[in-house]
Amino acid sequence: MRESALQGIITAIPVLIILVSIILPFSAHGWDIMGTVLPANPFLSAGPGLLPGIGGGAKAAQQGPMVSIQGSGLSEDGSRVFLDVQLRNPMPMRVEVKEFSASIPAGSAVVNLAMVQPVSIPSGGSVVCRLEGPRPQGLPSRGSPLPSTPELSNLKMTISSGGIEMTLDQDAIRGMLS
Amino acid sequence: MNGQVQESKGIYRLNYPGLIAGIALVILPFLDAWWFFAFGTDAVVIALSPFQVVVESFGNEIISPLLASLNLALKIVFIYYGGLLIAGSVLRAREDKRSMADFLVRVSARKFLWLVIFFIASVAVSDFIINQAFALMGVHAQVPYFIGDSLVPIRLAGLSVTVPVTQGFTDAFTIAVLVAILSLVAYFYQGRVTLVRTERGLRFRRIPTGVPVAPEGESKPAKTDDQDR
Repeated sequence: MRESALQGIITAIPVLIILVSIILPFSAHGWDIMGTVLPANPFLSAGPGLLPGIGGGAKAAQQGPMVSIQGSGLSEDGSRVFLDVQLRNPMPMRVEVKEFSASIPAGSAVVNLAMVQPVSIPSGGSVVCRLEGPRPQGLPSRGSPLPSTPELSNLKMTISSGGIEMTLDQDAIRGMLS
Repeated sequence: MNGQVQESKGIYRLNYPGLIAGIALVILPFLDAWWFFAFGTDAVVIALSPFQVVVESFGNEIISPLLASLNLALKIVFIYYGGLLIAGSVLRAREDKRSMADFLVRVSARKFLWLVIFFIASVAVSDFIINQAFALMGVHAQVPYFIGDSLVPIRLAGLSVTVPVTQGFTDAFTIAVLVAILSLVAYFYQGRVTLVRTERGLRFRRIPTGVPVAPEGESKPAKTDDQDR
């Protein structure tokens, strides 16, 4: 009889441990199911809405433009056309902009510009990056032949974060422009 | 066979596979995760075992209080089962405690195998759910089952995302499978096999049904396989 009672206790102990382990966290979190199973986390809720095309970009719109044109012009030696663009990172993680290209009108021609080197933007931070391209023939190499805020076309941007690569086309980037 | 047996008591009657499996069961909860799954390099990293669930997003750990509590409970329970398996394997040497020894091994030895099987099934179900979710989202991508790398292309309005997915079992899982097999061996060893010293040295002998394990001269006959059941 004593042995069978002992056997009963030995068998019941794991069941009790498992039951307590389920009840205890619920009790500690005020019987809130979501709070106990998966508490709110900024990294889980950050994604949707931060970029146009993901969750409608509602959060992105609230936080202001992610891409704003700072100015354009010719390099000192007059051989290249440049466009300075400020990029803002609203996401809660560091982002690397690997590629950014655009076309701007320069006189009667259109110049294709590309980012000189990749830039890394910390969470919530911003950087000014320069897009460059060759000066088209026929565009004067002196003075300021380019508008300060030119109309951008053929926009393309590739960003990378945590090994995930995102390529944004014209429509997506237009939604991020000021 | 009895004629060859010079000694079949004391340490020879310990359940050696059970002893080793029991010690391994006590250590195993403190080893690494069994399986890992990563989106990107560190965008989302999941490291799983029944004893730990680590979810990290961009280096930030996401903790579920319920899972953390269940992991701790499973750690305690399987250390407990390890203890029972050790106790049952050692008590097998004492004829008066044979029934309790068999009970302890019976209760503890197969649980870990079930845990490993349940874990493998859970991983398969997770991969299946991920693939079904991709199909529902219209993403033409397949995550390989259990092990492997893949690139998941996702296209949304104006945005194309390429997500490298990596998953695989770790060395700790291999150890877990070996321990599960050893625990199963211990379960069958308990009632059916014994170590005996013969003229040619130590040998494993199958306990014949209805024949006592103990050599002649011992007061109590050993419980047989059939009696245990």
